[in-house]
Amino acid sequence: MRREDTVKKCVSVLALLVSLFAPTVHAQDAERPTGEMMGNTCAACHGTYGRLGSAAFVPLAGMEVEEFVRAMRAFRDGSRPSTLMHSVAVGFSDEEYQAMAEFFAAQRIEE
Amino acid sequence: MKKHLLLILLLSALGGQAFAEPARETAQAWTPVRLHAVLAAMPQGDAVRGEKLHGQLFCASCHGERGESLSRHWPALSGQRAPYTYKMLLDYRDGLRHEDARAEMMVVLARMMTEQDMADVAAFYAAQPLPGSAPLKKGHPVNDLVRRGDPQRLITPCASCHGVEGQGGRNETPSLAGQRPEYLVRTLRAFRDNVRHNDVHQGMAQFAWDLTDEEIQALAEYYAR
Amino acid sequence: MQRRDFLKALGTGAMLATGLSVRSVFANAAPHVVIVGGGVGGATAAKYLKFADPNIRVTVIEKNPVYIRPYGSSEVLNDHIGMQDLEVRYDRLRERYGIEFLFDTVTGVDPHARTVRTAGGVQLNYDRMIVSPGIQLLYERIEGYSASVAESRIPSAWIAGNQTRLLRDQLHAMRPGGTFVIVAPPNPYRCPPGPYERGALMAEWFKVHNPTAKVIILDSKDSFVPGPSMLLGWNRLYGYNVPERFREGMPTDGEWPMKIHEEPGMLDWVAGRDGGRVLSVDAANLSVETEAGRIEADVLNIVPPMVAGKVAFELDLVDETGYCPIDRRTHESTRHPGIHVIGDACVADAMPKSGFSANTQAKVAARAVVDLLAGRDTQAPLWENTCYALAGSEYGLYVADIFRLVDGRIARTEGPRFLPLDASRAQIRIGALYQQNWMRTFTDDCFA
Repeated sequence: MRREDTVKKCVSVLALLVSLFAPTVHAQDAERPTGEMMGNTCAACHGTYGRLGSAAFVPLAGMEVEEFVRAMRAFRDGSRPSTLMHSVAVGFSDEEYQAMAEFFAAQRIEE
Repeated sequence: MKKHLLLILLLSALGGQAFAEPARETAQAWTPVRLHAVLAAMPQGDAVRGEKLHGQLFCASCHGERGESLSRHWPALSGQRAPYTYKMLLDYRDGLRHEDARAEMMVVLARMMTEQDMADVAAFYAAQPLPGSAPLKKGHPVNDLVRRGDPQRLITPCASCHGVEGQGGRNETPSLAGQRPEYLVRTLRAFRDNVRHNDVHQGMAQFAWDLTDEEIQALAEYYAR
Repeated sequence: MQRRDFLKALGTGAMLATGLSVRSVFANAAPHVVIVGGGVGGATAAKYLKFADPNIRVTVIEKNPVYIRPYGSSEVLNDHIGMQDLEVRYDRLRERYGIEFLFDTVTGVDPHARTVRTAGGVQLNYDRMIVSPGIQLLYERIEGYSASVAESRIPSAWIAGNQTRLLRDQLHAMRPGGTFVIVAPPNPYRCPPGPYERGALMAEWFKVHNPTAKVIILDSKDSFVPGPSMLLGWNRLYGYNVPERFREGMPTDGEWPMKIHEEPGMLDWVAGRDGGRVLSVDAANLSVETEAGRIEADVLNIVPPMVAGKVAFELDLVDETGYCPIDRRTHESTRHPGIHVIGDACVADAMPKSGFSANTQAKVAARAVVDLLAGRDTQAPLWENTCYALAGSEYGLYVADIFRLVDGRIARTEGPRFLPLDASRAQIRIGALYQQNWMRTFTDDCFA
């Protein structure tokens, strides 16, 4: 059983009710994955914990929160051209961008 | 030697008919005469067309909407001198510049461009404001090196070519003003270690050979935004 | 680590804890996680366990001392890389993270005593186990096919190794104007775009080295991933005519329009509905009987149906589907507690069987194991499968999916999955460049 405080529990229940009426999976689910859980799915391109040497992809470790969120938004709305980042960005909500951004901002940089 | 072998392997592993050709690796090194001729023949750049290309060819994706750079990994291009940007694109295209995987990406992209395309994007970036300025910084650990050089190591002052405020211009040098410090560090090291050698007759590399790691770091900070 | 070192360690442990059983020694010391399988899933799990808690002891039991990566192995066939480029060593995992390796085969497990036994006679205690055994190919499901035929004459080359080398050599020795036939497997199978990427890369190679050659892909399926984006690539590069039912949304003007070719191109795909299903193979004559008739080949590559790797069966982790049912939240086996299953071998609902999936599943499982060992609540999982694929060396495609836990099942998050049909030449070219980069960064995330 999850140890959540009452407020979070109410929000979760509400979100669950909303999601029950949604036929497809939406980015805002009852129990949100942590920034680390989500961020670690990025590692295959962007480096383990965002640390990348020389590669075509951008390293995410130490990236400023604002820069990360802005980038994901721009990928999502297509204003920034991409190959597959648009598809990836569409799969996450703004809150999740924030959580991932905070996770990466806290990672040590290692060139 | 081993490093070059690795680079060649990396390049040939990149794929495409282009990399199977060894010809690129032995592209003509620059001479002052050839540089002068090539720059004189540079097409007239159209900044409006350049902006479109910069979107279509993914330049914006790494270098930012105005070329201001989106990551410590990629240099700012905004305000960069057009002949320098143009020359860099030629160097990537011809394989004269290929120091790492990031450079490999530029090689692929440059080969998708005509010389007109290159001149156009160069014009676009030149029309953008410089990301910063590097005026006299008395008391800074490398201020003397920048302004007076070091005769003992035969290092001429950086400012004598790269300009009083780092804006470049003399002898076709680039602007350094406001550049990403991580990129400048990487670049100086690449020149020092002969991993980058697209300069004319080692005109830049010779000044990097005797720089210490601390000086390189300090120089990058001197010019940084 | 050698067998005798392990026995010595066990012996030492027992000596230190006089009178106590070996099991108690491990219970008092740092928790021990045993990982069966050192492929993408196992390696990633080992590494991320250590990141989450360096105090956890991690032992990987793997048959082969050097990993030969199957992802990207089709690039050996067109000489883009060599067999040696597929080799991945475990040194980094060992040295950087202190992960222990036992090169051996698992023969049995006791889920109650939490012990695992190997062919080399080692018995290890574990607190939690992660099993990532990959797949095994069911050659005999196709009449006339067998493992020995695959090793000698009609390679599958779906698990990288000798068969990859054999197929490459056969393709390079194929007579001018010969026919290369690929038999694609039925769902579910490892690496959905694989057979189609392989056909495309060989068509590209043949255009230069054997211009009158033909490539035929036989399929029991009527569609495949990444779908129309691959078909459009074939149309643009190999003269393939896109079937009517897939043409919607394909560009008819602009930078690179889809064309209707008058002559058949080098590459063809025979879908199930057109009789592409293979009924039997004649190994001696290198021909297959399909529902649409006999097809003769000069080089024949069959990818048969597959199920979870052998060890999953030996450890009683599989169900009637031939794959391992799990608690999706933690990847823990629903058949035996304390054992988590990841990668191709597990039942993961909407997730394709791929290296990328195995990589993210490994991270979910590692996090769950760490939390369970510490007595904490487990976390909401999230998985991803974002893979690049090639229709040509300079033609990049992709699949991009995000997966979440919904009502106890792994469901795909709604969104665009594939390269858009109106992608620019630059996007396509850069996609291929990214694919090459990703081979390196992906391998590093798993093994370095």
